[in-house]
Amino acid sequence: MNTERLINTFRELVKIPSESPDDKEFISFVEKIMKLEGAKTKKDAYGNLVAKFAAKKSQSKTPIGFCCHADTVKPGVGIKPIVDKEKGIIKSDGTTILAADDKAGIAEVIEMIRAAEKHPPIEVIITRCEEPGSLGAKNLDYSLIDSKMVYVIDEDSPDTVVIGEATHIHMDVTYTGRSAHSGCEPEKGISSIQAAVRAIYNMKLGRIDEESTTNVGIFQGGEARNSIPEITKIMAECRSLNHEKALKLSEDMISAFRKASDESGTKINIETNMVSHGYKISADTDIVKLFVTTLKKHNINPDVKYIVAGTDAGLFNEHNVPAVVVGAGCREIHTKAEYAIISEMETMTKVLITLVEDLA
Amino acid sequence: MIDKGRLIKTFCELVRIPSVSPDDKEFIAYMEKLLKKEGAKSTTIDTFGNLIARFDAKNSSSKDAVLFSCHGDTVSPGIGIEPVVEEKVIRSKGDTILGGDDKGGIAEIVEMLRSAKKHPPLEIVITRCEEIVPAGAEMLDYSLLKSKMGYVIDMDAPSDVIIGGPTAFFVTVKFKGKPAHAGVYPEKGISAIQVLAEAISNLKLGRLDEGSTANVGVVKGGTASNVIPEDAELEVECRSLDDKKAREILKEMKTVFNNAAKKFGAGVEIKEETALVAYSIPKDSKVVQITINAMKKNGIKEDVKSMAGGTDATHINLQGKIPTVVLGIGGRMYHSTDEYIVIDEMVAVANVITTIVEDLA
Repeated sequence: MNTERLINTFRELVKIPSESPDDKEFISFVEKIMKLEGAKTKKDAYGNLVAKFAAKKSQSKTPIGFCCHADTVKPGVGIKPIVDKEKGIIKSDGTTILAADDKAGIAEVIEMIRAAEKHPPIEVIITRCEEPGSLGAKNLDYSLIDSKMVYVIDEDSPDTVVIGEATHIHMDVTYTGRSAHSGCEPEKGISSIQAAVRAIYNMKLGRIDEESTTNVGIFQGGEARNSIPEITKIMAECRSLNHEKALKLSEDMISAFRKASDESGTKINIETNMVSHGYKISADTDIVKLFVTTLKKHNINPDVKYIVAGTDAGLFNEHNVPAVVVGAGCREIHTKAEYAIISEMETMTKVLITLVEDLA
Repeated sequence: MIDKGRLIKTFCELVRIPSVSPDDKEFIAYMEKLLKKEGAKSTTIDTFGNLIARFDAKNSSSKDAVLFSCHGDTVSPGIGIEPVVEEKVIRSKGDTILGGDDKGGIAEIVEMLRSAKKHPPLEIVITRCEEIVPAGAEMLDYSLLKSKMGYVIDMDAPSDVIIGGPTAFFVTVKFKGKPAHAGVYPEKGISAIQVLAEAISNLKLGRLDEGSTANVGVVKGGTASNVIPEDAELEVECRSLDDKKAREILKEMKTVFNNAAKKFGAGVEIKEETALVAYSIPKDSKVVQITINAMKKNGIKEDVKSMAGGTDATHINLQGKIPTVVLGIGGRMYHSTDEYIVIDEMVAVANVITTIVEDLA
């Protein structure tokens, strides 16, 4: 592999803005690169890119998939990557994010394609709009995917192998009561704050069990001190590494919210959004064992774990395409202090090369 | 005799001059000129900008001055008011308030000055900034006043006689929990929203008794759904016509807030502010009896009551020198673009206050 080329690719990628949802131009740019490298490419109806590379010096008919997302969080326009050779890192100029999340992963995949001497058929999947809740992966045309395993490169450190993520359900709740002057005629009003409190008061919040949590993160109600509060908005969530448990938790919370509305005579509106669909993959499966073995070959001690955040991997697993999440070599993502560690990017690229060469 | 046409004309002139608080000084200056023209012996603008105009007794040897007070400011939208005089009511064109609150009262006082055949010495006070804080009446230089009784004209119906108002406390509570990622290590956090839920569940709210109320009006807590909320802030109030009762309610509330914080190990900061101080004018006092009598003479059945809010009378009565009641303007739907004045009611109020000053002459 060529480190200089890897860094140059990375710098080129981050200079093209792709704040979600405005990531289509960037996807087209990546498509061009993939074509130049010999891929047959296709965009699905949502705009996700699937690039297919034929096997190289290999009889293997089993494709392997690599997935990265194209979009970034804000502020991601006008990124100027600065290579700090002394520290061995790449950072932004401090006014934007760096977008190593997830363009470090894309650069590594491109370098892998260029440098691998042999490989089985490869599918590179570049999804749109991962940051707002894996919208690209949710809308991906899975009939385009032939891989039986997909590595989602979207974690920080190259030793990471994520084999399970939580189901995460977000709830927006609005109580509408009736306003009235609280000093003159409070009996004519119905307090939406009291209704919401009624629901929360008996709710189990925080750590529910070792794999489940709940939270009421935002509570905003009322219009003026001397008015019976008409509108109260709540944002709540629940998560569990066990999908069924998460569903049950959200059902319980929703019924508590509804009960409080019934009892208080307020109107209620609840919108739920499954931010991520959880999964668990056994540490014994091929996809995990293969990556762990490859990491060990590079003297990296694998950190196999579950996480509560959501990545595109949940959606692949939901569509029966086993996927795990591995690291790209970046830190402090979603902040202006975000940086990529050059040695880790090199390492990850080497790991990927070994992985595909071993499968050839 | 009240001149209805002249009253309406004065009213329309007054509402056309914008005076959205705090930009009411131009209007106050206009009023100073107008009252001088009506024969004020002297006028003073105090340091806050409130206007005091003094009139000598007319055809009367009375030495006891009577106070009439209205506020000069209005709420928004109050610029470019174009009064529309219909058969029975006066409205705005619909894009502004009318400004009858409180310029209806001012027009009635001016009409009273013009039509009363006799009256005792009068002190006319036009306050600034009644609609905001601090109110002009709070900042008024009371050493300038000599009245023995007073009238604030700032209510709705011509039958209104407000003889009492509440003590009100505004309480602002800040709970401080501890933030933590809600999905990763919630056990490291303390949810300020849970603390507020605990507190509010234990508060008595709404109507507490005939003269007392309590409310949690505004709550703001948390920053994101995936973070254990560190901060929650509550805007709370309690009121009672009985000052002692209001203090008791306040004390109970503070105990509830402190206990809730303690239960969860959260921090709490409580700020209280005395927004209103209760007053109560005896029904058999001269200011009330003269009013009831004047209403009778004009065919109006008095509606003597206390109110839950504050007016300039709250501040005047707090001084303890000039027992002051609040009368109606004859308008409705104040603070909205639907605000209107009932012409006959405005005439009725002008008649009542003219009768009052003639009876006191």
